Amino acid sequence: MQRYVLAISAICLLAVGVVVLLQPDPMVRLEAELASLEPRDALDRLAAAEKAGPLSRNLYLMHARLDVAHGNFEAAHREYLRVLVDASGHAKTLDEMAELAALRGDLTAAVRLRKRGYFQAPDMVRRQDLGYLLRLSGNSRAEMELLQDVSPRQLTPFEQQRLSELLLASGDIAAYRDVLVFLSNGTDETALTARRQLLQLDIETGQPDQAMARASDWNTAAPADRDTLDQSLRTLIGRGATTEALTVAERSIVNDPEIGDVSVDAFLAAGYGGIGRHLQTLWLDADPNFDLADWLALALNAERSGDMAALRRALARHTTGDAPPPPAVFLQMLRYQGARALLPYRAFMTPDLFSQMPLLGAAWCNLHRDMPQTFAYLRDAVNATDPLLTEWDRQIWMLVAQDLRGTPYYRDLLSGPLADSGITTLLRASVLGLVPTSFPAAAPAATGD
Amino acid sequence: MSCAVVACAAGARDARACRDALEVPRTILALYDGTQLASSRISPIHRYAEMPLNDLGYRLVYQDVAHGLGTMPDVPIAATLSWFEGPVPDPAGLAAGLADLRDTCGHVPAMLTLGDIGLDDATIATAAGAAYLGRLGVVAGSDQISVGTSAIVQKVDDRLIGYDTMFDIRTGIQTRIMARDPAASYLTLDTGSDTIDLLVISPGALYADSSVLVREDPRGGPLWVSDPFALFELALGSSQWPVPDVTTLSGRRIYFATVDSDGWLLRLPARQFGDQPPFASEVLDSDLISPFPDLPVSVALIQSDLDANVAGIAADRGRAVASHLFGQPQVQPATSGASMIYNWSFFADYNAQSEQALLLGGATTSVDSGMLVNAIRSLGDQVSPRSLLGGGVGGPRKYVNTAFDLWTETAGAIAASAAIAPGDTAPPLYRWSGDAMPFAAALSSVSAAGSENLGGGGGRLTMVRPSLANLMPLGFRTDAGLQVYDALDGDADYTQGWTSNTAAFYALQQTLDRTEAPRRLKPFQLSFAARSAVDFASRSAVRAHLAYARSAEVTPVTAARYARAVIGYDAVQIIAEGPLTWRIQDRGDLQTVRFDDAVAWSVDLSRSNGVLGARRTGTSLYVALAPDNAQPRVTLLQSNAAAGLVPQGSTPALVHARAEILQSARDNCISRMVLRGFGPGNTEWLGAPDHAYDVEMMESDGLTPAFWQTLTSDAEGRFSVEFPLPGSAPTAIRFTDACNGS
Repeated sequence: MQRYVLAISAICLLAVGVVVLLQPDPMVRLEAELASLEPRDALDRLAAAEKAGPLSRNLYLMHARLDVAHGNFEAAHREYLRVLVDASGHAKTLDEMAELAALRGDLTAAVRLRKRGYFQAPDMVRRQDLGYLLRLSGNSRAEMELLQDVSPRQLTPFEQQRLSELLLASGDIAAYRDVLVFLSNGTDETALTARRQLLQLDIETGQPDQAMARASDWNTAAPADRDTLDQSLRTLIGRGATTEALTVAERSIVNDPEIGDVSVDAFLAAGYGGIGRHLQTLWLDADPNFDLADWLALALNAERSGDMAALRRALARHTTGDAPPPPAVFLQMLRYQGARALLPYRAFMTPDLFSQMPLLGAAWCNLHRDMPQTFAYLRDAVNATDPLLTEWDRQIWMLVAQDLRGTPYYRDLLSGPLADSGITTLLRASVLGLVPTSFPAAAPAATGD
Repeated sequence: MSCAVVACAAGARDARACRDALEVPRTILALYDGTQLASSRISPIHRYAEMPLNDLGYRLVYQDVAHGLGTMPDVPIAATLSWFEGPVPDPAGLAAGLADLRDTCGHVPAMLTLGDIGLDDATIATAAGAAYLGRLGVVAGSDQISVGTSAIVQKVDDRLIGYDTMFDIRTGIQTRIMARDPAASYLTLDTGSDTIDLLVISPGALYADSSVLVREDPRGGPLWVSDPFALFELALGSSQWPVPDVTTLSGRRIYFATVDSDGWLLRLPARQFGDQPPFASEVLDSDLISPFPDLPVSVALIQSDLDANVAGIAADRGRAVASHLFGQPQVQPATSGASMIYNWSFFADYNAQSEQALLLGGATTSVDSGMLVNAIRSLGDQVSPRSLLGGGVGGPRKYVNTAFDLWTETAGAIAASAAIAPGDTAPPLYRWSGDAMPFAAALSSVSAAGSENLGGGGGRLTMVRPSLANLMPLGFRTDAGLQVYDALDGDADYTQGWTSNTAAFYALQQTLDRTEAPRRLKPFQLSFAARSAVDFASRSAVRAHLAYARSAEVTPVTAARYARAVIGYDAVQIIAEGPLTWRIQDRGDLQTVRFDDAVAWSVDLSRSNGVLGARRTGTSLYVALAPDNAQPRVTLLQSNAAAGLVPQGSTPALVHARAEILQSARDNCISRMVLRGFGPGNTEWLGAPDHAYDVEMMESDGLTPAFWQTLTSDAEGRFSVEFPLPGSAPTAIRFTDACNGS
C-alpha cells in the first residue's frame, strides 16, 4: 500500500515538474499578450515590463518598432541599440535602424547603418540605397568602392554608367578601361555604349591600333551586327582614326557583304566620298544578292554623291530572278542626268513602277511625247503623300510640266486644286512671272562615271 | 517657317496692342519639342525648372515648336526658356523667331537655354543662327569637338556648381560653345585641344549644358548639379518688384489639409477573433478630424463608396460618416468623383467596350476566378461583386458598375457631395484621383460646375530626397484652365501606397522645415487618406502633424482657398507706377506679395493703398493686401524697420494673424475688419507706440460685442490680441483709439 502511495506521489510530483518546465517563458507570454493589444496599450505594457527588468531581444525589437510607429524616435533608437547589443546585428534590423536614422534626419547614421546592413547581407536594394546615400553625403570614393565591390554585370545599367563616371572622375583610367572591357562583352545596349566608350578611350590614350583591333574583333565575332559596326566606324572616323576605320570596313565587307552598306554609309555621311565609293565597289563585288535594303542604300549614296556608277553597275548585273530595283534608284538618274538616262532601262519602266513613283512616269511619258499619260502622272505625283515631292523634285516636275504649256492639260494643272502648295506656287509664278526661290538649280550631269 | 514668324523676326513690333507698357513682365514662354514629348507636362521645364521660377514670381506658358515658333502670347514676356535634347524639327524657324524677338510691348525678353540649343549645324552657320547665339552670349564652333577622358575642369564657380551633387564631365562629341563678351563662363572644360564653356550667363541670357542641370538617379531621385535659383536670378536679374506669393496669408505660412477617400470602407485590423473593428472613415472622423475643430480640412468623397448598390452594405456606414463630417464647421466638402479614376487619359476618348476588353484581358484565370467567386461569397454582402472587378485586375478605375460618364464623374459628383453638406453654399472642391492627369474636358466640367480643383504635383524635401528637383510647380496649364497642383506630397507618396514603412509619413516634418527656410517655398499642406487611419504608424504620424499644425505659426485656410490663391497668382498683373511703387491688379484671391533681399526696405503705409500690413521673415518682406481693394498700391521706402513697415499714424497695421482678413476699413479712428479663422485667432498688430486701443469682437449680428479688451501697445507700437473666433464664420472686429483723425 505504501508503495502505491509513494508511486502515485512520485508520478504527481513528476507531472507537476513537467507542467512547470513546460510553462512558456514570461517573455514569450508577454509577446503573445502584446499581439492582442492595441498598439498604444502594447506600448504602455512594454514600458511597464521594462521597468520590471530587461526585456528579450524580440521584445526590444517590438518596442522599437512600436516607438517608431508612435513617433518616439529617440526611444526607438535606444531600443534598437539594445537589440544590436544582444546579437551581431541582423541585416533587417540594421535596415530598420537606417530608416529610423532617415526619419531623424541623420544622414551620417543612415549611411553607417545601411552600410552595415549591406555588408552583412548584400543585395541590390541595399546596394542602391547605400549608393544613393553615399552620393548625397558627397562621398564619391566610397560610392565608387561600393560599386566596384561586385561584378559589373551584377550592377544595374544605371550603376554601370555611374561607376564609369566615378572612375573617370577619380582619374583611375585603368579601372575605367577594365570596366568597359567587361561591359563590352555583352549584346545589349550597355555593351554597345561600352564599346563606343572603349574605342574613344583607346584613341584618346594614343592607341588607335588597339581600337582598330577591337572593332575588327567585334565584327569578326558577329559579322552581321550592324549596330556595332556602324558605331565603331563612326567613332573611329569621328576621332580622326580614318585609316583604322577603313581597315575595319574592308574587313567587315569580307566577313559579311550583306551589311556592306553600313561601311559605305558611315564614310559618306562623314564626307569621305572617295573612300565611300571605294567601299561601295568592294561591296558590290562581294555581295551577289541585292535586296531592297541594298538598293535603297545604293540609291541614297547616289543621291548624296551624284555618282551613278554603282547604280549602273548593279543594274547591269541584275537578272530577272533578282528583287526588282525600287523606284528610288531611277529617281536618282532622273535627278542627276535627266529622263534620257532612263532609256537603257526601259525594261524596268513599267506601270507598276510608275504607280509607286508617278514623277518617273511623268518624265518617261513626256520623253515619249505621251501627253495624256504625262498629265496623269503629273497629277498623281503632286497629290501623292508617299513619297512627298522634295524641292528638287518640284523643279523636275515643273520642267516636265513646261512641255505641256499651251495645252488643255497645262490649263488643268493651273486650275488645281493640287495638294502640294509648293507646286501651286510655282505654277502660279509661271503665269505671273519669275519669283526668287531658294531651290537648288537643276542638277548638272554627274561626273566620275 | 511661318510668315508670322518672319514678321516677328524682322525686329518689327507686334502689331497687337501692348496690355500695359508699365506692366512688369512675369510671363515666360516655355518652348518644347512636341515631336519628342507628348505633352509639356512631362517636359524637363515643367518637371524641374518651373518650380523655382514660380517661386521667383514667374508664370510659364508653353509652346510647341515642332512646327515653328507660334504666335506670341498677348502679355509682356520676361523670357523665353527652352530645354531641348537635340535640334528641333524646324531649327531655322526657331533661330529666326528668337534671334530678334520682341513682345507686344516692344520688350526684348531674356533668353534662357537649358540643354541643347536646338539648332543643327546648318542653321548655326546662318545669319539667323549667329544672331540667336549672339543673344545667348555665345558663339558656336564650326566643328564638333570631342570631350574625352583627358578633359579637365579649367574653371568652375563653386557658388553655382555642386548644388545637390558634384559635376562630372560627360564624354562624347558635342558642339563647341564659347562665351562671348560680355557674357561670362561659370564652368569651362579643357579638352586638351580646345576649351568649351558649359555654363554661360549674362544679364538677359543663360546657356547651360545638360551636364550642369539635373542628373537623374533612379536609386533615389533627381539631383541638381547647379543652383537653379542662382542661375535664373543671375540671368533674369533680381530686380525688386512685388513677387506674388501663395505660401503666406496674413503674415503667416498658409496651412491647409486634404483628405482623400482611399480606404474609406476599409476595416481596421481585428485584435481578437469575433471583433468588429471600425471602418477607417469612422476612425478618421473620431481621431483625426473631430478632435481638431481649429484646423480646417477638405474631405473628398467617392460617390460609389456611399452607394450600397455599388459598395455593399458598408456604404451606409460610410455615408453616415460623411454626413457627420460635413456637418462640422471646419470640414470643407470635396469630391474625387464617382468611380475613383486611376488613369485619366483612358477616359479622354472613352469606349465601354475597350474598358471591358481591358478588364477581361487582365482578368484572372478560370481557376483563380473560381477562388474569387468563393471569396466574394465568404465576404457575404460586405462587397458587391460588381464593384470588385475594376480594382482587382488593375483597371483604369476602381468601380466599374456603369459605363464612364463625364458629368457623373465631375459635376454630378460635385452636386452629390454638396447634397450631403448641410447649408454649405460653396461648391465642393474637386480632388483629382489616381494619376491626377485630367484631360481638358474633365477640367472644363469641374470649372463649369463652379468648383475649384486640386491634385497632382506635390513634392517633398527630406534628407533622402533633398533636391529641389523633387518639388513640383504650382500647377499645369491646359486649354481648359489651370490644374492646381497639391503643394506637397501626402501619406500615400511617403509610404508608397502604404506598402513600405508606414511610419515614413513622419518625414513630412523634414519637408515642412526645408520648405520654410532658408526660403519659404511651399505652404504647409497636410494631405492624407482615410487609409492612414487603419495603420497605427500612419495614424500616429497624421496626429503628430495635426498637433504640429495646431502649435505652428500658420494661417489655416480651406484647400479651395489655397486653390483660388494659385489662380490669382496666375492672373495677377504688377504695374510699376514708379521706382518703388507698384499697383497690383487682377489678382483674384491672391492676398500676399513678397519682396526678397528686402532687409533695407519697408512698406510705406502712408503712400500705399489697400495694404493691411507687412512682416519680415528671413530676408524677405511679406506684404498683406486688403481683399476688398481691387487695385492695391504698394510703396517701399528705404528703412530697415524691424516690422518691415512704417505705420500710418495710429492705424493698426497687421503683422500677422491666425486668420484671414476679409474686409478692412478705417474711419474716424475706428478700424473695422472682418476676420475668418479656425480656432483661437492670435493676431499681432503694429500701431503707434505706447498707445491705447479698445479692441472688440462682435457677435454674428455685427453689433453686439462678444469680446472686448483695452490694450496698450509697447514702445515699438506692437500689441497682440487673441480673438475667440467662432469656427469658420466671418467675424467683425474693431479697433478704436484716440487717433486725432488719422
